[in-house]
Amino acid sequence: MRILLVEDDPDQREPLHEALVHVGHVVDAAADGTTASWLIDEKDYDLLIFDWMLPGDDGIVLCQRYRQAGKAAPVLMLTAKDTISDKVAGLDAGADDYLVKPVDIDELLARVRALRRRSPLWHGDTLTLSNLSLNLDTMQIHRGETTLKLASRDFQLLEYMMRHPNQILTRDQIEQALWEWGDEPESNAVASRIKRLRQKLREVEANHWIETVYGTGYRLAPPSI
Amino acid sequence: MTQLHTAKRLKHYWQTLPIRVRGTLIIAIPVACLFSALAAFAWLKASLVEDEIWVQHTQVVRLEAKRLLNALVDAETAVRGYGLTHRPEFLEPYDISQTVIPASLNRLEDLVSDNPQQSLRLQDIRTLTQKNLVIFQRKIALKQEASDRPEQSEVPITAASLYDWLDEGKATMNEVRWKIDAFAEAEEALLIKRIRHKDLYQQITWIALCIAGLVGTLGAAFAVHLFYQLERELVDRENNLRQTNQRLEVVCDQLQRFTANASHELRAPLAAVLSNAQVGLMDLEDWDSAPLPLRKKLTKIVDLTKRMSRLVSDLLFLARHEGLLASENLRRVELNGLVRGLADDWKLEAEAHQLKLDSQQPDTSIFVSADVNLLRQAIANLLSNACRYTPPGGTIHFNLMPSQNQQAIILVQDTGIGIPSEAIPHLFERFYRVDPKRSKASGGLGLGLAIAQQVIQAHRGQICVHSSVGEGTTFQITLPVATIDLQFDSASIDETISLSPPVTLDAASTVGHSSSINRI
Repeated sequence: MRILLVEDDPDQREPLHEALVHVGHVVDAAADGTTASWLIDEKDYDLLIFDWMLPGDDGIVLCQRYRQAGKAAPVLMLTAKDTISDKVAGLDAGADDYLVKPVDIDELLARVRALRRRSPLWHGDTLTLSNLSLNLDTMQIHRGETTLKLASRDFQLLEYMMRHPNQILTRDQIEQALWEWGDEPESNAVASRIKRLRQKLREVEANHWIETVYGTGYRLAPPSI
Repeated sequence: MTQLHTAKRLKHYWQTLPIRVRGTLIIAIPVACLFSALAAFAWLKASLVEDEIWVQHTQVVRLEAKRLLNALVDAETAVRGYGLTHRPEFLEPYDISQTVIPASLNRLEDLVSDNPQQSLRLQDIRTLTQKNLVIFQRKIALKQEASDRPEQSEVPITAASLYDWLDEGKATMNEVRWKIDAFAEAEEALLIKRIRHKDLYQQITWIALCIAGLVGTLGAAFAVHLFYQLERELVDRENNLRQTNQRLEVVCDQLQRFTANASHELRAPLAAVLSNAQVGLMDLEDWDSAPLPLRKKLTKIVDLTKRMSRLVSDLLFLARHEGLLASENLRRVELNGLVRGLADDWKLEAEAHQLKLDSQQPDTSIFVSADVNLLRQAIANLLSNACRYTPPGGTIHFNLMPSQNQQAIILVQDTGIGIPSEAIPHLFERFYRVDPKRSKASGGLGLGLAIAQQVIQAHRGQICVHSSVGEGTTFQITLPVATIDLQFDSASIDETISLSPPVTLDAASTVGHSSSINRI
């Protein structure tokens, strides 16, 4: 899931960022309202997490603008403002959930999972392709009797490819989808991640599902039985 | 110098008087002037009228005295005329005098009855007049005898005998005349005295009137001056009040900003510490051979940070909800439902402490006007205390009951360790702990009861505690039951809420939910 995290204090932003990446999300982290506005216009997100008080546009303004643009992805306000009237204002601005700092990371991740379930694009906790299934909560793949936990990066790539099965995905598309904003991929970065994923998939004997389309990109296709 | 000093002191004293007293005094000054002028005028007028009566009286006495004298003289003349002529028609004035003189004497006696000196004089006059009248009588009798004896009529009356006859009674007559004159003069003197008295009083009346007018004008002017001064003072006071009000508003604003800032500034570092420690723990999970002490330390950091965060929340809560609640924040709350809900929520917690939670509510609904979130928090604090300070196997009674005087009582009664009596007066103080070691071990911050008390007092209620060591503790919350008007009020509020879009209700419930999760 692609998440936009807007928080001006790096001491708070970095651990949250790390935790979200750890559970397999692709996270763009912004430190101010202006950058966040630009990112919202440029990219599509599955979830947005806003701090209230930000340099530039504050979280409430970001939230209102996002809703006015007609976008439906869930928004979570994460702020130190804790009065009832603050909460009402935040939720009235279009936020789907409101958490008061300091927030327990486990609770935050549970909320993120809950919000993902509410998304219109939600099709269940598990992605399935042929007899291979991927659990989005536990980052585990199942095939037959074998269960395997993926590292966050491999999970991100496999999730993306399983969401677009049998399609040729160009290197650019993969970069766009999986690389965080401000994190420029090296020329062979996509290739090396594909290689790592194939190694992982070998353990469930599915490494050959990823085909290389020469000169274009890659395709995830289960072998036709 | 001393006069100036006294004036200053007087002015100072004047300014310390309450407005009501000063206003009364200001009005009293011209009114007092008016009344004293009226009284003086009335007194003088009365005394003038009295003088006038006296003057009239004296005049009447004088006239009467003159009439008496005239009557006497008439009588004498008549007697003389008769003596010379023997004509009975000359006796006519004498006969008239005969009736006039006693009447006149009687009247005079009446008139001067209040003046002993004049009465005495009149007594003299009366005797002398009587004497005169007797002499007249005798003279006439003599003459009549002479004329009755015609044989003697031829006898010429000698000049000498005639003179004798004439002279007889002259002395007496003169004496009477002299006495009457003296009497009249005395009356005259009295008259002059009274006229003088009257004139004097007339003058005094004038002077008094002028003085009263002057004093009244001055008093009115002074009153106007004082009134202006009072008005100036009131304006000053109003300005002062307005300034103070503005200052208070600024302070209130600052306080609100401070709590907002404090909540942000205190929470941001706590959030950073908590997130970093938790992410650290996450990383350790991936690390197969993670050292156990490191995990323990990180867990400890997480726990302490959460505790600190709860402390910050509690302190902010206390700072924000000082004083009575504004009526717009109050809603009509059914206590039965609230107590039932809380009992359900806390059953699990009690079971976790191996305690039994027993709750009873009356059949009839009890309504109070309250901020339901605050009230729930206050009661939850009491339940939390009961769970923490009751040894396993104990029972917590959590009851709602109606009481006299339109009050509702909520009881939280445990069979716990109890509170020593010397600790009870301090129990609701912030950060007070009966047994610091034990409280810390059980996770208490020392703010729960302070918060409970503040919330209950903000609802115009009372909280009190009865406890005996080893037997248990009872906390009793007393809340005023919602009155009829408030019911109407809240009914209209309920209506407006149900009319507003459902989003608000959703939001409110989500907020309540998330905040309760945060606190856990």
